[in-house]
Amino acid sequence: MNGEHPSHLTKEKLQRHHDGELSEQEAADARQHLRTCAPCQAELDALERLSDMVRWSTDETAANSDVDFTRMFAEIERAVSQDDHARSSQPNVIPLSQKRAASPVMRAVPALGALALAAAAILMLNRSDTLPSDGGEQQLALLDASHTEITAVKFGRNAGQVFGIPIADGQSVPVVWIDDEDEEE
Amino acid sequence: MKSAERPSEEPHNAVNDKPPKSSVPPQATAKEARDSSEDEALVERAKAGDNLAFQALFQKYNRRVYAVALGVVKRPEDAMDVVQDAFIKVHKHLGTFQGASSFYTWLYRIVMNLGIDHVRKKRKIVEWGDDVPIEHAAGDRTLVPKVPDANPGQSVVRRELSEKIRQALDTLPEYHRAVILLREVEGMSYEEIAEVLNVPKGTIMSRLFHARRKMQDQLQTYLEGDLDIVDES
Repeated sequence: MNGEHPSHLTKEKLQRHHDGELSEQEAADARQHLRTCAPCQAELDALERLSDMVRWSTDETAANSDVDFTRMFAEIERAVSQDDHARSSQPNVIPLSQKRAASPVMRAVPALGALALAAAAILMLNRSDTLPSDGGEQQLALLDASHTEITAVKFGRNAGQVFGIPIADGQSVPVVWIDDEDEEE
Repeated sequence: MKSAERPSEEPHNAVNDKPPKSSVPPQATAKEARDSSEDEALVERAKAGDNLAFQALFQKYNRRVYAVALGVVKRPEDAMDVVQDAFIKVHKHLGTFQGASSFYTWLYRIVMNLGIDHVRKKRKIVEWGDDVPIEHAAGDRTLVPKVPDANPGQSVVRRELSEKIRQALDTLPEYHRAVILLREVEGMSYEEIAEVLNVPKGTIMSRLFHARRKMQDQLQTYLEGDLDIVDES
């Protein structure tokens, strides 16, 4: 049938005609052919019939499903709100300067990693009097003499700054220095 | 265009050899949705934090995307999850939506990706036959159109026809199902479908051709109008 007889529309052309994907000229030619070719018209009718059936069945199935879209939207709002809250509770990391923000330390270590280390660093500093005197002095000296301030950080009521602290082998680790607002007051 | 405007919106009544009338609540048709510039304004407002604008987008599209999602994932509860997750994603990424494509195709891309991923993940976990509860398998009452004024004979015919169509759709691979649903239900052009599914236009034509051929093979009796159905009313 189609495709075998040169005068018939190919299946591909029939489909494109059915889907409205032919050019105006091609569509006009196809319409003219269809007026006199019963087999091609029958194939086109079958395509149209299938489209009707699929659309009908899908729409009806969806319409008859018991979906509470109001409740769904409430769920979406809740999820969005939780997401917003999670984001807002994260520290707001603000580069102090372009140069500093682009420092290798900053590129290499995510700011969140800095926060994870913050507590440990503070604990270490607070306990410096308990460390052997050489070790404690070494820590303070590093912080005092070699630090590189790279960002400012705000989290909750506190604010602080991130420093890159050189360690062995030329590596640096980020440390957050927290300024307690209560103390400032 | 394009000769083939969407096939007639007239109902398909199986008894009369035509599809029964759809009872889908009125929402923007696919064409109206595409032609509307309303989305652009709503998207801009939603980007600026206007929740009512986001809600308007949700209300405009929820049923349409649900219908297509359901066609892909098959189970109503899965389709609901897909639609819900899709709109959460939309909200989350709206700020990065540049408008290079329409909101309409962007939304459908998200929905189809989630739907197809869902089907693939499910398939890895369990065999399909074991996963579909009886109440949601073909023949489920949710698959039967509710037409209040239909007589019992018509209901039986519609139920049978609907089941056959669903079964035929369900036998298609998800990527064929996606193409045929976007074309037949949403009336998308090949180009739009290609954009949504991120495959070349030629692939869309090919998939559509094969999907239709498989559907025609399975629904041959109905397509040829050979049904010998007596209206029992």
